[in-house]
Amino acid sequence: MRSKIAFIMLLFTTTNVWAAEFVVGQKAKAFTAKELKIKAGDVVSFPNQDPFFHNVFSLSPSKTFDLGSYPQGQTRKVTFDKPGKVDVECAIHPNMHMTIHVE
Amino acid sequence: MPLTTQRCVKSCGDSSWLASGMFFALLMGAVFANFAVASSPEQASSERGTVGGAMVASAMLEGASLQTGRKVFNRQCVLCHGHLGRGDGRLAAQLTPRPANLVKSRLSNAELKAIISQGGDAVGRSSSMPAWQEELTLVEIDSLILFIHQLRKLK
Repeated sequence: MRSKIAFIMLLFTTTNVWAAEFVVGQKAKAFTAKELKIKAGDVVSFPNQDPFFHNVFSLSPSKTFDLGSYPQGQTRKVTFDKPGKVDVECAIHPNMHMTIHVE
Repeated sequence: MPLTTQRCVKSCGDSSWLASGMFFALLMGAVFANFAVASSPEQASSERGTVGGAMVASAMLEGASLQTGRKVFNRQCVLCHGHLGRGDGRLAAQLTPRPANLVKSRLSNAELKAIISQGGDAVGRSSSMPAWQEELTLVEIDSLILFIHQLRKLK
């Protein structure tokens, strides 16, 4: 019984079971959403729907990440764990921008 | 082999004055040609295929220019390589290994063309370097190489 409780507590501390997953694609050299509102702990998936590479990254203080270059059909996920405004860009296509508001 | 060497020495000895004269003529020609091309830094940098009076890119495509190279560099490369090409762009801290310092780089034109076109992975270097062949024209890639030669002069 004690070990079951410990397991459940561990589950709650290591994973956010209420986290939602959002999808922001990269299509025609643009993000499929310009703005997105999510909650801390939510996950955003960035599938590449273009027939060429994209490299999604952010240098915002509340969330810094670089997903590297990846081709059509592949996706990479990011968990946004802290509230704040996150500007997302593509390292290959300088005109690609979108903003994620983490509450 | 000794026979060949001997024959060569004899032959060279016979025409040494002619060889010296031709060498001198070629040297003077090169000096004057260089002076004509690089009479000012601005002119030297604006000449297609010449940087600082030296032929660095004799196989460059028609239309490749430093101006285009600078424009492409500022649009596509600055993020990682930084404004002066020192590998200190605003994304650099996120990358392992760090982006190349283009001022110190001594890659040949063929090597530069390969890594810019096909990306780092294809040539056994950093996978963070994207393949630009789908984004840039061949003229833009050649222009970029001209601009990288210009950056090397900054060290």
